[in-house]
Amino acid sequence: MYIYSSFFQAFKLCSTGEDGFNLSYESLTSEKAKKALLERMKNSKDFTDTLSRTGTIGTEEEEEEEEWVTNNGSKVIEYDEIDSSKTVEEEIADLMAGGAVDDLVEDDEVCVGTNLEQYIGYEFSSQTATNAWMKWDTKGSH
Amino acid sequence: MGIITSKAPEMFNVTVIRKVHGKYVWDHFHCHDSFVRNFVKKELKWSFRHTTRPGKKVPVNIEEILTDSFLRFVWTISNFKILAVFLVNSDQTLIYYTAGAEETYAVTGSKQVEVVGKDEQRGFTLMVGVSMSGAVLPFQAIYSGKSPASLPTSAAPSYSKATEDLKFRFEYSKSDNHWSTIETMKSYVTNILAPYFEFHRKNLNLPNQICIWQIDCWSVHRSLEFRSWMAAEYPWIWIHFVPANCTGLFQPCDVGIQRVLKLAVRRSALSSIVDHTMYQLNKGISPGQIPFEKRLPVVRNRSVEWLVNAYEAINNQELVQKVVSLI
Repeated sequence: MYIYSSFFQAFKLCSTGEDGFNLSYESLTSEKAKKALLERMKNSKDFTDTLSRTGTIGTEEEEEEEEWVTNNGSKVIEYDEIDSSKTVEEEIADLMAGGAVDDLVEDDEVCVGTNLEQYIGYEFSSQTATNAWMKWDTKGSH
Repeated sequence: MGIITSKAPEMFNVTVIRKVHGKYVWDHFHCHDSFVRNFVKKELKWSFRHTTRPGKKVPVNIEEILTDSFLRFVWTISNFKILAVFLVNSDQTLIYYTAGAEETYAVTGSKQVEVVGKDEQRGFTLMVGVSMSGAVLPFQAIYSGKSPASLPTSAAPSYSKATEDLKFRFEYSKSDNHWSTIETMKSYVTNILAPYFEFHRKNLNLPNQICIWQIDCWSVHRSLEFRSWMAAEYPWIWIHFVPANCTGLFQPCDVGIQRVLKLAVRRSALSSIVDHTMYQLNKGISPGQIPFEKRLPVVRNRSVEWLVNAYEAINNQELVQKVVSLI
């Protein structure tokens, strides 16, 4: 048994750019796509040749290695840009809407719960950190 | 979070106004990762020991490359009358046992930094596949090690659900790292991809249907050995390569799946840490003395439940309907 989800949307998000094509089934089977294919085959023998290799289709270039090293030799890491404070629901909504809530946080989040001092004084692992955190304000306007 | 939940749960009730998709909404305060990163950098003067990795260089003629790749799909689909269920994209991703197992925050300028779990193997590889029709294929998880002893045990929470109901496969790499190999790739095709296609070929009474498998240009995928094996064993599965260095734009798993999946895994892992912390606090242990479980056999076993939770989270129909209503 296979479970079906809304993730066919992920194919739609793969766009070719200005042509307006994407990897959704609707786009791949559209008349516009078929016309573009015929046009491309007519104008480029190199492209047409790439279609004749049964079983494997696509470029032969190699993907860049995942790990990078800086000039001083230390290993470089990549932030995966995943925000663990988000729910899966929010992440999917962002994905489908084509934008990330997280991008808006610094400019658009306004904390209105100003009575934060009441939370100071508990036994946290770092009292300094806690105090600073409570006084910290993302917009510098408080 | 476990400490906050136990000592100051009111913090989660602080109300904020957020702008989401152009609309202002009332919400509870969220401690976004970007907030934490900015806070520890500006206020505590802490910084990561490593620099951020530069992005991959996108080819100059990117639109032409992607359009050609798109048109190759159009050609195959129209020539062989391929339905959406017969097109699958698969991609592998790294799942960490603990966030930042090799990196940590430290006061800027400090020379020696202790990192919890630095000597542990960091994580495992997860092979994810999704069809154009929206089917999520069973996961293949690859763990470092040279014997079945390197795999989660049957005593792991949710193990039978993972292996029997969801048909996940847990495999060891036969090496010291957890990366996928040609052997694990063959296993993925034989035990997950081909059965998926065969199920639909039989179901739709299309026994000779050509199918498309989109994968990236990773060296093992491109190797003559793997391609020859595919041509000999599964000539009806055609491989379409994602153009090199375009995975972030033209690989559905990269564009729309892995991020949601990783978040679901992370939240599941975080939840178990919070539960563990609260349990310890309730036993009277002070916050500074709470041990973090980092033994490999333990976190490896826990990973099974994370994957099951993540799989169910991303396939939750109720969730999908709710999400659609938000847009």
